Amino acid sequence: MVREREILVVAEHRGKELREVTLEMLRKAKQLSGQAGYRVSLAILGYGISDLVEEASWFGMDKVYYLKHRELEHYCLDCYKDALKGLIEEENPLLVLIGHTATGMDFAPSVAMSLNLPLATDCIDLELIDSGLKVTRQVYGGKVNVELQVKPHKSYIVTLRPTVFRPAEKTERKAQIVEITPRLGRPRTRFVRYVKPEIADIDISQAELIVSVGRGIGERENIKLVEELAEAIGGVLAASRPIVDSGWLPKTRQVGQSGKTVKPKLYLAIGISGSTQHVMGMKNSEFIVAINKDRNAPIFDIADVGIVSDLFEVVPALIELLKEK
Amino acid sequence: MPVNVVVLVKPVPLREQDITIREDGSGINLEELKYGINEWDNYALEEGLLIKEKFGGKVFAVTLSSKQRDPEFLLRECYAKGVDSAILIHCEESEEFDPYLTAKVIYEVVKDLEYDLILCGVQAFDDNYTLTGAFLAELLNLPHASIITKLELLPDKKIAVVRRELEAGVEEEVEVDLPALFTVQTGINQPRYASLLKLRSALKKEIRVLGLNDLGMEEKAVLDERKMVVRRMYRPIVKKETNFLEGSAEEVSRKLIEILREKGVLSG
Ligand SMILES: Cc1cc2nc3c(=O)[nH]c(=O)nc-3n(C[C@H](O)[C@H](O)[C@H](O)COP(=O)(O)OP(=O)(O)OC[C@H]3O[C@@H](n4cnc5c(N)ncnc54)[C@H](O)[C@@H]3O)c2cc1C
Ligand SMILES: Nc1ncnc2c1ncn2[C@@H]1O[C@H](COP(=O)(O)O)[C@@H](O)[C@H]1O
Repeated sequence: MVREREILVVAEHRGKELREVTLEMLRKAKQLSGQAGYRVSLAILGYGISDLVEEASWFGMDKVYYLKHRELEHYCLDCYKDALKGLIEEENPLLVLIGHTATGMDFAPSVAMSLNLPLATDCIDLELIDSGLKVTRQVYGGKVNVELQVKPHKSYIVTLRPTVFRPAEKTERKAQIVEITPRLGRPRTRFVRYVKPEIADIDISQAELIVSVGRGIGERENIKLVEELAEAIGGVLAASRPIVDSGWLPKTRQVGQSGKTVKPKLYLAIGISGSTQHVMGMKNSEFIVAINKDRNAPIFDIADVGIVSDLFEVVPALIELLKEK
Repeated sequence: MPVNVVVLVKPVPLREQDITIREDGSGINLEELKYGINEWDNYALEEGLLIKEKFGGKVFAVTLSSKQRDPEFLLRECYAKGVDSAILIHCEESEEFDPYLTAKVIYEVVKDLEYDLILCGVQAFDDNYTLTGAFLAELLNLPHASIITKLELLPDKKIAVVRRELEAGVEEEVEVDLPALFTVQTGINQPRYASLLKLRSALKKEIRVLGLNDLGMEEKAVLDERKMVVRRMYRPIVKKETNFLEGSAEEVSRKLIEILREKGVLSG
């Protein structure tokens, strides 16, 4: 009886709030169920979050499993693994969706391996087909898409890339809430505390004009060049991760998933390839200009204006012209 | 108290090369490419070497690779940087592996090593699975923590305190029982370079080469165990229309400034 099977979405939340990726997964789950009539349910792991569970139950799923345990107050690998393993064994869902976030990518492989289930990570699309599951992922820093065929199996686990699907909306229908006390073993990893980001000298997330520099700049001393351009434009200087990793600019200037999200009037990307983790932090900029010598760099896929050229020729020319007037 | 570290290093295509897809979409033209250490693994390796310098102990480098990725060169670099033992699991079929097979084959080798800690990269630049480490940890029945940006070992207490990167600059501090596996994020340290002199003397070091047969597996048969196979590869379909500016550096600069002024993004 295929019709009664379920798509289980694992909620991600922090600080008593659902994270957006949860709603994105729910939207995708409902889309998949619409064609085949699968039930959609949501698993929320935590403690002392009944308000969040109540709130979440309005997003159009059939059931919410609240896996409630003191040990689940903060994320803990072994606790998540034990709790989800129990639930998946019990409910035998056809498909389990997990966010491809720092948390999701930590526990998804452990759950999958411990149940011997196939796992496809960081997917930007998926489709249940007769011969199993078809997923789409990006490889080589976003330059290539790959379609994978997951062989037929009793269940599948997929982690979905955040910000790809639109979030689900609230509905009139409240889901049934099932409270479960999961059985957990002794955790070998233990949460200690959160560490907040450093305070910035300049808050790039408020900037209107951003000149952002990537690995294409080559060397530390070349940073001066883009600094000069930022000044000539009257904007602030930001960077992709490798620049920050190398210690050439402070962490507070990093744009992307693990840095700042920016939404300036102008985002001028110089020598940045446009990896997903970078793009997540700037794709909602109003106007995007990219200078890159590689015509196939993914940054051009989201740029309004593209210049395929050596930055060491274009940037000095730009500075010159801007200073002229 | 000495700490033995296993580091997983994967040879991947160097950045800034044209990645071309085979006519039939079945994969990448791998033979045309140049290979080097995966960026994340370079940080994992450095972290392993720093631990050795601090606590004593050995560093093992382990690679699973086909010939065309030139894994021997990568492992010589590892020797030049200071690893004590380099192991190459040579397998031509590994290009067709899914991450289950990759982890399983690496497991067969690592389980017999004497380690206190296993380090690998967060992700391989080429396949981007971000799960080989966690899979291996699960097979070895070890705890793991991924995307770590700081590692503090307390070998006497048999624990490590690590920072995991979450998002938007927020991190999470976690205490982990040892032995454990960690997937290392870029920026955790500043990786060293191998000097030419050391590279030259590394030529004399012996790389332990193992085949699947040595692990009780068979090259071709093992592929049947895959849970996933590639259907096709293609260039991402672009929806946005990008206005590409053409001309000399000065001409494109003029055009750009004009566009930005028209848009009201730049004043003047
Ligand atoms: C969990 C996780 C979180 C991450 N978070 C972030 C994040 O928040 N922000 C972030 O940026 N990255 C992040 N990354 C890293 C990300 O995956 C990429 O490695 C990184 O964004 C690449 O930076 P880049 O584009 O500057 O470098 P590359 O990808 O190396 O690109 C350099 C570009 O410069 C071009 N170039 C080279 N020379 C020239 C020249 N002379 N003229 C013009 N162009 C030139 C090249 O063609 C290339 O496209 C994260 C990764 C992980 C795994
Ligand atoms: N073939 C391999 N040989 C050695 N290490 C590997 C191999 N494949 C993956 N790894 C390790 O696992 C990490 C994550 O890879 P992946 O899960 O493929 O993104 C890499 O950064 C490596 O440290």
